[in-house]
Amino acid sequence: MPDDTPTDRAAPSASLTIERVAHRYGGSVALEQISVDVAGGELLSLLGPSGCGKTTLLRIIGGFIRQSAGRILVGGQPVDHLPANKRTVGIVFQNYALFPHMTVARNIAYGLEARRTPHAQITARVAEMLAMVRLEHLRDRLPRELSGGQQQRVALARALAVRPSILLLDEPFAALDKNLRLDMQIEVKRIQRLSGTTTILVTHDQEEALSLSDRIAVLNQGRLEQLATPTEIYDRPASLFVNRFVGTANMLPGVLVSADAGGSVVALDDGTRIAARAPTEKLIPGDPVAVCIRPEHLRMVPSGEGIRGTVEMGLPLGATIVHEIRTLSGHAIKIAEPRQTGMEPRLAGSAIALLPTQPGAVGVFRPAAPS
Amino acid sequence: MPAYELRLAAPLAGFFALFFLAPLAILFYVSLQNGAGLDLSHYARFLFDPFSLGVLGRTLLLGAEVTALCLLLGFPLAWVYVRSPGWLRPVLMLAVLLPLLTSVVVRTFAWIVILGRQGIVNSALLSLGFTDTPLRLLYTEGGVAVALAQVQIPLMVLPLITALSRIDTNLDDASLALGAGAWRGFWRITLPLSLPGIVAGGLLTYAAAITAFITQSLVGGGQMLFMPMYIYQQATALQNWPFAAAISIVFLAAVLAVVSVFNALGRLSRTHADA
Ligand SMILES: Nc1ncnc2c1ncn2[C@@H]1O[C@H](COP(=O)(O)OP(=O)(O)O)[C@@H](O)[C@H]1O
Ligand SMILES: [Mg+2]
Repeated sequence: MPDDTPTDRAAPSASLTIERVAHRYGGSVALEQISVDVAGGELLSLLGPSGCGKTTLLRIIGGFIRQSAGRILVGGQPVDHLPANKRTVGIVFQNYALFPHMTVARNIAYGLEARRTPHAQITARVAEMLAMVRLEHLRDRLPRELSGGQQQRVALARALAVRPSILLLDEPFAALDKNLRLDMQIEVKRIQRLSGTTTILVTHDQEEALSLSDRIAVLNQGRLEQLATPTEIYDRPASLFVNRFVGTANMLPGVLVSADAGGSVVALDDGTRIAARAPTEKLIPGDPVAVCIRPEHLRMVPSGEGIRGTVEMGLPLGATIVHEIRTLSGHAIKIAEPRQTGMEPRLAGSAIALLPTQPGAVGVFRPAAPS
Repeated sequence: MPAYELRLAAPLAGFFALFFLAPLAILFYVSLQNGAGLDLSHYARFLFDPFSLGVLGRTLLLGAEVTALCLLLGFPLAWVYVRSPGWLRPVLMLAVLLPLLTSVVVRTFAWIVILGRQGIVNSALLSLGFTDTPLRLLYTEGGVAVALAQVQIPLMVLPLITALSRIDTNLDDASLALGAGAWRGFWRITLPLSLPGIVAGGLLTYAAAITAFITQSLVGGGQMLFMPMYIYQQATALQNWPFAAAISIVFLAAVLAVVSVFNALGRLSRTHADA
């Protein structure tokens, strides 16, 4: 029968291997040679700006488009020859794609019916899923009678009802307003833990990726820039792109003075020398570099040392206080410090000097190609 | 509803009153005329006459056949249109609309040429050896239905395109990802969600098919009598205006009945789809 799925009961928490997957749309390259290993039960985010190829990769995993090169393995088995309806991959679309003419319960039952699950089991599983997403009281509603968050939970329940080995979430929170988004992020994380399903979350929201993921794959223009844990991505970004895309970064031009495995020294364009992390890219002394320091990794020092500049604006943001500084060589940088009770912003125009809190907080990268 | 919206509809309402309701009232009045008095005798004559009832039944059946044919041919066409790339759409749309851009008379004579004893279909069948004697295609109900379906396909396809393009393409993918095959997706998702288009298209083709005087008469020939021709004969050849008026009213009532059955079916299947 066409609807039968051979791997009906594929165990949840299968591993996923993306092996040198590349994709072209006509002549334009959407993905180049992406390789990612996702462990069973892991939640991995694909993070990157719009147009970087996240949806393309997700649709390749789901079997909706055939990659130009490379392989996809689920639980160690290649699945490239399987059409979308034979892969045990659950997917939650950005707009949820609930069947508008079916009730919540019918939506959740759809995949089970397609697998010819016995009626009694369907009823039991639907009830179980409704309980998991806490929507028992809405089982007979139509999707249009639900709020955005409720629709999303139905979409999640529908995808998980068939016990997929991989769960794919395409920008699942983008359509929700901010308060609801946080609730739903917690909810999705809870449900993902509960079901133990290997999950790929696509997002362009770095905070979302940082807070939800076990690991993050940062994509840029179809290339994998870095694959690491959220703290690693934030603390030791592998490229200028990652440093600027994840969190905020002050960027200053400089020249590499020396570098070894333990660290490096750069000279900024105003002559200041700063100790930094060892570069992750191939750079030799004398190369022009981009120096990245996050606002919270700067401190004010007595003038005479460090990067000198003047205060342009001070913003007391409750728990932190942010100053916008114009350096002597004309670059705008931000510094964020914890704000003590009664602390007021410095006056605009006052002269100050800044230094990084520690060499490990300073990244040195190949400068962005002029665009 | 604010008053100005009603006022905007007033010209249309006036138009309808003058050119539709008033003639209808006159028609009804004429249908009651019997000698000097007024009665329902013409209606009785129609409703107890097997011949007249046969014409009515055949006409309603013809509408159903044409509608079914249009749906069968039009659905795949609309489906292809909705899924085709942008540059192809104007070409397909032109192909869809082409029947409407040709004159009825020209088109009908073309069908006579195609379906005739020496026509294209017959000579093809003969030379391919599928048959020894020419088939009778012209002047048959099948021939009339095909000729009508050809011109009325746009009336089915256009509402279907509207309905199908409203369906989120992610629904197909969601259905696939849940393990359903293409057929299950079609029956459970695409078809129920395109019902409004099917109902609208069905009503249009049905109404157009049963009233298509020229095609019915020319392709049907003298042998096949349908309601429009029947009314025409009674009115002009026999000068029996009251009876022609009564037939018209009966025809109208029958069509309205069919239309409301169709509408009810549409509503019913829509609620059933999610039962
Ligand atoms: N069907 C398509 N045909 C041609 N190009 C496409 C198609 N889908 C996406 N692209 C292109 O591929 C690139 C990656 O797209 P996508 O995977 O949708 O990115 P993201 O989801 O990260 O925003 C983009 O440059 C986009 O314009
Ligand atoms: Mg996308």
